[in-house]
Amino acid sequence: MADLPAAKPLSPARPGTLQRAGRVLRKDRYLYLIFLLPFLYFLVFHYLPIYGVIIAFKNYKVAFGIWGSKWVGLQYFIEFLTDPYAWKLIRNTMLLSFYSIVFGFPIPIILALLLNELQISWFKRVVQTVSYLPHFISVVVVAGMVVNFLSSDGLVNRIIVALGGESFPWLMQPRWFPGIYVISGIWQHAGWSSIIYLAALSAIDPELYEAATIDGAGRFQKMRHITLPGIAPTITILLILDLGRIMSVGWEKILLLYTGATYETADVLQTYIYRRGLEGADFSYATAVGVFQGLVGLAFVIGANYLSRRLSDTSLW
Amino acid sequence: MVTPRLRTAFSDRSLGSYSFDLINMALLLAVIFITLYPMYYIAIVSFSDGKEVLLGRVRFWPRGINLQSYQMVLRDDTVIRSLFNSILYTSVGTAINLVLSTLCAYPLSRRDFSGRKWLTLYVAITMFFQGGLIPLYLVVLQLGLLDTMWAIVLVPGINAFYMFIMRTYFQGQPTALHEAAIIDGANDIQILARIVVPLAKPIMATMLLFYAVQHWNSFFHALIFLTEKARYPLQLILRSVVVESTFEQMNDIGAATDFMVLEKTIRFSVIMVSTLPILLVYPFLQKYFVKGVMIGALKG
Amino acid sequence: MRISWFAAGLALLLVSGMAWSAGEEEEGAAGAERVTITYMRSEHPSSPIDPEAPVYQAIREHNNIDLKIEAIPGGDFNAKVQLLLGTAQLPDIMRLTQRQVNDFADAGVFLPLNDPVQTQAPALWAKIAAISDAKKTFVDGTMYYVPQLNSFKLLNGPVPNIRRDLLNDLGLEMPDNFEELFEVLATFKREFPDSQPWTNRSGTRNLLNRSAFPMGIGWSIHWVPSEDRWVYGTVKPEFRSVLEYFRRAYEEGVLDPDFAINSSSQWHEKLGSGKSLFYYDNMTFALNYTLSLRQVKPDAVFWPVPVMENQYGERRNYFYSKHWLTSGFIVSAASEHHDRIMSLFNWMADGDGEIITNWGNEGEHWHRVDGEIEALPSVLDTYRDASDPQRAMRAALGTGLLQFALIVDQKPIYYYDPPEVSDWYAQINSDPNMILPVLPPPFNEEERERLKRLITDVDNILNPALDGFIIGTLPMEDFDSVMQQAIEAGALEIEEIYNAAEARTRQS
Repeated sequence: MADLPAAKPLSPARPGTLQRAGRVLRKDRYLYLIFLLPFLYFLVFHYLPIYGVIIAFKNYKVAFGIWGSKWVGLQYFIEFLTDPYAWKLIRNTMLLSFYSIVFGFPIPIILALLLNELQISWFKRVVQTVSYLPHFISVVVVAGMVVNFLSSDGLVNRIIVALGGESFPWLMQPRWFPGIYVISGIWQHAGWSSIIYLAALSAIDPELYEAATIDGAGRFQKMRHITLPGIAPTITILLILDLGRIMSVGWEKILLLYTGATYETADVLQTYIYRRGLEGADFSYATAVGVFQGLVGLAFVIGANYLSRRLSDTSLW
Repeated sequence: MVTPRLRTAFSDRSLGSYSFDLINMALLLAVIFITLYPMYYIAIVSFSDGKEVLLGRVRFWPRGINLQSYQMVLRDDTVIRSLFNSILYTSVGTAINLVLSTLCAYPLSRRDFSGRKWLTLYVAITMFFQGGLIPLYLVVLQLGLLDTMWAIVLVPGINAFYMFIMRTYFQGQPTALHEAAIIDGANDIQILARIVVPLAKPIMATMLLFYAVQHWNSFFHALIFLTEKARYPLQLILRSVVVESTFEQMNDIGAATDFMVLEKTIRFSVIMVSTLPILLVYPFLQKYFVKGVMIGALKG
Repeated sequence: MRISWFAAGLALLLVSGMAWSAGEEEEGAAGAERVTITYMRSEHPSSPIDPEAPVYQAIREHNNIDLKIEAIPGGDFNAKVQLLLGTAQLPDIMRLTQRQVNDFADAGVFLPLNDPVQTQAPALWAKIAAISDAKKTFVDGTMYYVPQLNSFKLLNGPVPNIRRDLLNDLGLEMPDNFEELFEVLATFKREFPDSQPWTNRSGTRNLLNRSAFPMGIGWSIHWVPSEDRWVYGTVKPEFRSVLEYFRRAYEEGVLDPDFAINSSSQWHEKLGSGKSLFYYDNMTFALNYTLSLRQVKPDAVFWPVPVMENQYGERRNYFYSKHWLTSGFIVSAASEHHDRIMSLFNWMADGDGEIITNWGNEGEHWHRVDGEIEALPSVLDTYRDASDPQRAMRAALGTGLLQFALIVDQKPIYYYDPPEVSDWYAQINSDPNMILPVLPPPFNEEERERLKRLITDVDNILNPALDGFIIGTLPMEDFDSVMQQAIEAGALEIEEIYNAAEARTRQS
């Protein structure tokens, strides 16, 4: 990349390159020093255990340990990818993530913008404080509430009946499952996620607003031309990171909310692994599926990062 | 508090702006209601008489108000000790998180840093590939951290996701002071300590909150790395109370280990006890999310 | 080793100066023979484990063993078990389920117990040998866990329970067959339009698991006494009538519309508030509902329905097992105290040890009345006000099933029961149509691997379909084709594996 001095080899000769590298290292020696602890952290707690990934290619038996277990090559990957049910799981996983991003991602931004426009500061504090409360409720309790609200005589059906409609079995309809999953997710996390944007908003130079006001800009113009561009890098980075998690969904909530009737849209990779895990300790198979998930996630991040670098100047790397 | 922003907002009031404010307030009131009611419901159940709850009479007001369930919960040594543990793990863990994340985010935020690209990738890869529990457990075992606080506070040392948010914030900081410092001959460590960190209060506050909540709510590391009950954090106790044990029942008809679940009032009291302390953190941090911090720092 | 190198580096950088004593300190002073033995089990919130409870102190006194108890929250216990077994890092003693033991039986982490128990814990061996089904818990002839046995227990079971007060109010008879049951519940629905008469928890599998067998064809793989073999009931043509029954119940509002999604606590609330009037599940729960309902209707009472006749003219219903053969205690192969553990087991299986682990100390917690052991009235009074008195008492003493007892005496759990409850027990225990369940046979490694796969594949087809048939999103005409799919996925192979393993067990 252009901003890396080391990436501009002006002189291809060996001694020159070494000298150059030495100079660069000397220039950045303090930065490397600062990075030392984080480097060790990732090395010890992430890269050391990563050797465990090899059990995806082995038939892991406790008696033989990770090294001693028998190699099986790609057996588990093939077994997984040739199972027609796996594709249904992948489809469901990606659809739930996709809906969550399309509908769930903008909400915290809108919430932060609305909060930012509030004039009454105590009211602003109250809304802010209250809206992040659901984040603290354990998912077990949240799922219990969702079932309560959507049950045959729950709040939602009571309202429908009061308006002359008929009680509807929301949680038994595959069609409705994604909606329930996404909406309850928004309820849980929108207020919480808006905090990141509020922090980003606070970094915008107030003089920009003053200048815009002097230039006669209205509220919406300021929102569009100052506020949004101000938090755009944060939005981009979060979106890239979210795309990287496209293969992982909130499976604990799904486990608590799905029934046989909604498997069609609700059964995802992790719930399947969970069920399989319960039947027996299938470490190798689960790891293989995990590696597959990681690869897909990484591909999405690389793609999103590439696009973002082309379209804006914000990128993960 | 009257910021310049507020004053200008009042000066350009048009009809459109006014109605926008009204709609905005109405919307946010709705947000308050739908987020508050479930919390409120948990609270009123925890204060109600268990029998009234079982009869389904508690909907909008507590009935048969009493503190019995709280007395039961708080009399329990386990709860008190785990509350203390949670506070300890959260404080130590969050401090470690903030230091490590800052040390990680700052070099990666410097566009002129020669190792930026590869080290970013070094961090990013860990978001997608984990070795799995078994090797992680073995590493912690080899380090001798099993059944100690350090397993709980060191293993989640940096959340790469949060770290990238922090890095993005650092990148957005004005570069003027930065450049001035370099001319003054300050090295990178001095710049980080004297300029970057003091100017980053909002993101520090955000990270403090995020990490603290992450520690407070986490139970999984405690579950797998701790065996001594005296070291359990509160969330593990909470889970033992709210999560229904289903595994033994799976074993078909033979295993008669069905139990009555605990009374709802007790379960909800535990939820309240485990949630309130961390809720109290937010108001102390809230002022950092209010605009004007930056300008104060720049002028001061 | 690489890890150790990094350990040193990391310790220097991060943890220096912050020493925190992590290891257990040797208790040298207490005498050369005293050993510390770790015991891990799942913990139920209504029966927390106190390592200083009288039973654990007694174990220290009588055996010179310090028990280090590791109590893991029940809902997460399986995750912890998988990890510890997966890394071969076991405590000395652990209470596991049969399935957990089977999955790791070939890992070499469990001590084979046949010889040590036979020679060093003869009292325990005698009791295990007296139970014919016990050897079904052995894997390839090896005992890897000591199944938890019972010395006394009133048999309980998943039985139909109905609001008898409402039957009386409406002048209805106790139903004698499943059609009458349907009629009675339909009448309830007519009389109380807001009610959801038949409710269920934990999903469709629970509903069918409990009620399909009595209706004539059991759900999933189950033992059929009349045929003397294992049968995968769901895919048999007869199962259609079970699904039709529930479909009709769903359509007419007899079955709770939320039958597939109720959690246990929602289910309890429906029954305890009078919203639901019938359930097919653990009989003893009825007590809590009865007591709660009496606040609003003084004569309210749930009552077990005597075993009903099904369309084939049969009457049959399972009890829960007499012993907890599907759970028990393993000993780690790596433990340094095998001999001490065996002598502890021997002590716990007979005489003093057996009594102490179920009742506490003589004179302090129990005394003899006409030769029979009875809890002291003063002890009983201490816990009378607790929300769950018998469990509170046993948790405080450290006694019984949920703590650390090899041979469980269930008598203490009945002390606080009101008189109705003994009538319920008397009724189902004298019912000739209540039968004991049969333990699945042990499987070899190949069979276990195969079953794992088959069960997931078959469930992936059946789980959605069963719900669909009941709520009417799948037409009943599809029954044959769905079941054909399940058979193709291996439903009948499951049956074969079970029967082959059963035959093998009987031969040996």
